[in-house]
Amino acid sequence: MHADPIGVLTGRHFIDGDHACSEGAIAAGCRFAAGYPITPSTEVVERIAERFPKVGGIFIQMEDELASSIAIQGAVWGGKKAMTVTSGPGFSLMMEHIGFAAMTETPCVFVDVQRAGPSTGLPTMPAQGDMMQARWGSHGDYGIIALSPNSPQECFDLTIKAFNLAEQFRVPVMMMMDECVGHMIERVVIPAPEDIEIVPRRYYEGPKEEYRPYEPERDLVPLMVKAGEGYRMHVTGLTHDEQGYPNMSVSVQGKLVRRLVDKLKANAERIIEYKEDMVEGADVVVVTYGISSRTAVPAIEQARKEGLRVGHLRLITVWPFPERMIAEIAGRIKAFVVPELNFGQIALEVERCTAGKAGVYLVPHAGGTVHQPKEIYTAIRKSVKG
Amino acid sequence: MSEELFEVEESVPPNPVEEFLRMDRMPHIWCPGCGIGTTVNCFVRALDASGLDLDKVAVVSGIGCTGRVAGYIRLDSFHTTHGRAIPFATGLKLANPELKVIVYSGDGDLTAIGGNHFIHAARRNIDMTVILLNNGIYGMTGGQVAPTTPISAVASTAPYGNFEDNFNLPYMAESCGAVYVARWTSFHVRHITKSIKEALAKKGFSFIEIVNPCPTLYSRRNKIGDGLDQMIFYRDNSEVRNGADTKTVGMDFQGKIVVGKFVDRERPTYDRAMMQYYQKKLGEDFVPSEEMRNAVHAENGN
Amino acid sequence: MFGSEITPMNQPWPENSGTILDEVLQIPTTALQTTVRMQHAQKEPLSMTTTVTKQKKLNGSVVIIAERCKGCGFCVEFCPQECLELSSQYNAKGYHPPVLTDRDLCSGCDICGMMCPDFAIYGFMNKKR
Repeated sequence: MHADPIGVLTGRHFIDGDHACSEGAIAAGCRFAAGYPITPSTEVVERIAERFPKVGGIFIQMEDELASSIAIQGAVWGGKKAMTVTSGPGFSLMMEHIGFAAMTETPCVFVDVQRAGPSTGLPTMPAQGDMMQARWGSHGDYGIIALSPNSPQECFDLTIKAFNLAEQFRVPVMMMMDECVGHMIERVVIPAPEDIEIVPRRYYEGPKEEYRPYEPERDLVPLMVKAGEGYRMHVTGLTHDEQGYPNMSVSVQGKLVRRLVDKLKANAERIIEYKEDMVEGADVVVVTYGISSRTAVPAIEQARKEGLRVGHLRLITVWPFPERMIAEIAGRIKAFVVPELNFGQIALEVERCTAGKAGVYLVPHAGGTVHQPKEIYTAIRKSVKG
Repeated sequence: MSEELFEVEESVPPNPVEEFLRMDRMPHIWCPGCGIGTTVNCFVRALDASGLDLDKVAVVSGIGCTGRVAGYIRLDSFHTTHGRAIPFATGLKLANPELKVIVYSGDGDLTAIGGNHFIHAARRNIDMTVILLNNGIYGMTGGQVAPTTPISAVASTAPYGNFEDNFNLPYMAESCGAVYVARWTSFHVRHITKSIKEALAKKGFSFIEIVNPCPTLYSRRNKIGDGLDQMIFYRDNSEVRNGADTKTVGMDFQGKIVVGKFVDRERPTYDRAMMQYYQKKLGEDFVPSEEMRNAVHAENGN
Repeated sequence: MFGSEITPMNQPWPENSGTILDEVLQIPTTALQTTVRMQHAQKEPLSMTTTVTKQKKLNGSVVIIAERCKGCGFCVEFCPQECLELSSQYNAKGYHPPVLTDRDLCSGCDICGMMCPDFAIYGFMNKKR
């Protein structure tokens, strides 16, 4: 289905990533947002606070991130598409509720505009240090989807994709932005509503007495209902059976957790998105995501000018990680180079999937600013030699 | 009464409570002598008498013994995370204001870990009914001290007795802005039912504290008998003082318990305040959500 | 294993043999018996039965689902008519369910039903003819 025209500001805009994210959410049909102020994400909810009353949405600034991250889930069960927005310290607070969303299969979007950590760190400066946390931050086994935009335009586009994926797979989706992309002002083109594809919530429509809230469809995703329709459902964070009732048996735990993990694994090919440039026939492949992908470009171009065969693989979905693709590429190249604004997070995944078949060279950065292209270029040269 | 015999028609009705409960999940997990089931009886009877469309009633609970109530009531029910029933309920209510949202949870859940959310929801006057069962302990996890444990009571994390002063919950609720504040004990079944019925009919943040025995942990460790002994204690030591000044209703260890309906006042609810304010400020540009519009129309009798 | 019928009124009950209640409790009272019903958790609700009987004084009765009772004693203690007591029989869990001691005293006020934490007893009023 298409976007509701009321929310869509079709046209060319000159706005920053945070604001583009707000517009993406509105275009995607998000009509409930809860948040707590935290730099550098606050602009997202500030724009939402201004726009929502004019498009039929409700924004409430909750008393903390714990409340925000669960209020959105209440709104989802009340029938709305919902989103919360935060940065590192708030993201850490939200972990329990990300787990709750994964366990109860509540479709919602968490935006993390990453800043330098750990702890309070550098509130106004970029980093990419929450990437592993996005995947593993909550306790227990579950799967999530994480997207990584590298421009304000992508902040708009990927926020819509985030909502679509959330509805498709009934899973919390992380929008892993960073301060640089969030505060960068660039052209954002918002298309006409009929050109924006929206995935509606997958509601159950059969007879009430036959409804089983957690009985999966063929793609391992169960159909949803909302409160107030007479389904008298029960939703719990406890391990539950297909009726939604708490069940302490080991077999139910096995079945449920396996499905929560497999849900993303089995559907990975439908979820994973990336952009590749001259990866075919390359000796060295630079794997990037987010803002690092832009600083890598001059480095790669310089290396190519000098005759090196360098490919660029930019991950748009960082989780689920494209394990098979990395493993396959590793078999035919010399090395990967992974520049990230952290001390090695996605590089660890690359290393794991490479399984020793090629070298993996991390270009780390403590955060605070972006890489100098020269650092990445040096790493590329080193990887060719080594 | 005359000694005359009269004829009666004996037809045994089914238990009226059962249609409100998930009978396929009985028996429940609560201990013998625990009063939670008693309050559920009252709650169900109040629901029945309220005339509400039960399809539009939702129960949200947190973690703990009382938190398990959501799993046993046959309504749309949500068993959420520890302390966060109230913000979940806030999101649920704002997404669909036609829902009647009830938060049913324990004292540790709602006032310790959930304390922040409690005070803000009361401040905002979110339209919900909060039923708090106060047993002065963390029961489910084995009897640890809670912010409602009175001084000198023994708990597993206060093995020499608690020396922290405890919350006076009606006072807290009133000072944060709750529009309806009542306290009863599990003994006061008729009063509880009436209070719940009033709270359900009232718009705004309504708060009912129900003092409740925990025979397995609180009573046993403090050697004050079992559930029945506590209920008898409640009967003999509670004083009904409707309209009492909530400042004066704090509870000591095995002391007098002041019960009653303390506060019943009017304040604009969050969603009404929001609607009116945006209407005023934005005029034609204001687009309320469809559910908000329907709720307002329903309330105005359109 | 557990029956769900109500034993009709005014008929002799089987003698209770062992410690586990199989059918219904027999109360040696002058008038009508309490209806005691064994109910497995999964069973359907009771079907209604109607009989006409004679009784004096008050007009209520109780239904006790003995297997649910956990012997807390609330109903016995707080019955305003003081017409319940814990029986000497016990259910499969080892608790003593209540019995109506004097049928004529029961007013059907349902305080026992409101009090019971286990939904194991409820009171009702009969229709006068």
